[in-house]
Amino acid sequence: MCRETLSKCYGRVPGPTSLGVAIFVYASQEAAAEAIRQLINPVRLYSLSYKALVGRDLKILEAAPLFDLRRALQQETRLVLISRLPYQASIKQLEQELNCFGQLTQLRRYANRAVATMRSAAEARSLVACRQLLVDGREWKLSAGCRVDEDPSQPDLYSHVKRQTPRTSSSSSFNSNQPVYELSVLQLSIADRQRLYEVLQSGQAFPCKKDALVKGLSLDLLNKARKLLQDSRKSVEEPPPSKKPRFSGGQDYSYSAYQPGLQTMSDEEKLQYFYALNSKPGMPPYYR
Amino acid sequence: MAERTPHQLLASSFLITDIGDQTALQLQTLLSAQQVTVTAWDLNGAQHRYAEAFYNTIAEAERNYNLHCVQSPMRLFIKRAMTTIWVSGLPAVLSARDLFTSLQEATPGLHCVTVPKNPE
Repeated sequence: MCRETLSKCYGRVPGPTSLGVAIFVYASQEAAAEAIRQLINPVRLYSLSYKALVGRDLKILEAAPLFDLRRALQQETRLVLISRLPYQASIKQLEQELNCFGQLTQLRRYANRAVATMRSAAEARSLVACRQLLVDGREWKLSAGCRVDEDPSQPDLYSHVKRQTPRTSSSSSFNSNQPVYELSVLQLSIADRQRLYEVLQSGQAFPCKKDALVKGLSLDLLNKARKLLQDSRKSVEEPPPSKKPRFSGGQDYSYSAYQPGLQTMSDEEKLQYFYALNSKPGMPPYYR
Repeated sequence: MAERTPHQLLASSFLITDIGDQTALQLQTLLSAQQVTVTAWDLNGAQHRYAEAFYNTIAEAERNYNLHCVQSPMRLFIKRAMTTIWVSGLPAVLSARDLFTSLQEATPGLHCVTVPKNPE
């Protein structure tokens, strides 16, 4: 079932591959028992000449009760996701911390997370079993780097609502240390985040100046911030005003209707143009 | 406090999980069953075990099930829901639809085929 044997047998398999395991659900227990008998001795399957089943060393088993095989198989991966990394954590430090659990074959560091590839799935499993690592007083969250088994074309629209549910009543306090709404802030784009911080710092209701305090916003404050953010975005993303003159010097002087290239300008026009370029506000318009 | 409604079994056997390292004989005496079969399987080295206890009659199985359902640390499971089977050793590139259409002819009563993806 492991990746090594898969790649050994089939080489590099393109596209989505399975682990060679299938789960069959039958209408009744009798039908399931009959299917097991059929699959153990696949006489009828030979007549169907179905390549996936015929001539293979199949192992057929009644599903163990109360065991989620799909979830268990999703954990059989060599990839481990490490999230909630502090910005000070270096790759060397990551290597040192993870080497205790097994040999690392690849390590990639992103902003506040990293992806580690262990040598075997067993090593990755032992690492994921810890769930978190306590390093320098910070908790690094560990999770199996499995492929999401959901339909990506239908994103969970309410995921941010689920994440924002306050855990306790104390989490709604302004100076709470619990980063309940951290994800919602991080979900914003960089430009939006910058705008949000600007709004938060400028607004009367948000005297906080540190990013850490922004992460601890309560829901009502966050909604307020969102509203402010939307307002600020409107002002920034307004449609651009009508075309400005190519060169305009003084306050009352403009060439809005006249924008030829220098090649086609006459001497008089060129003089006007250079005067406009060098003129400062308050200077009188070009007059000959 | 309201009395618990006893479970009704449709077969003369039931399944037991969380059995630890107990042997079939130990389970047989513990559950006072006629016969106990233990099934062991492994997933990448990790051993998993579950057992099935058989009785002479459905009534006897039902009585023992309701008795041990509350007292025993093991988890008992009515067998009527055992409609799922696992098949391993299939090729890596596999279509659930193909499996379903071909197996529907060979094994009647097939409801659903799931092929778990390779997590990597």
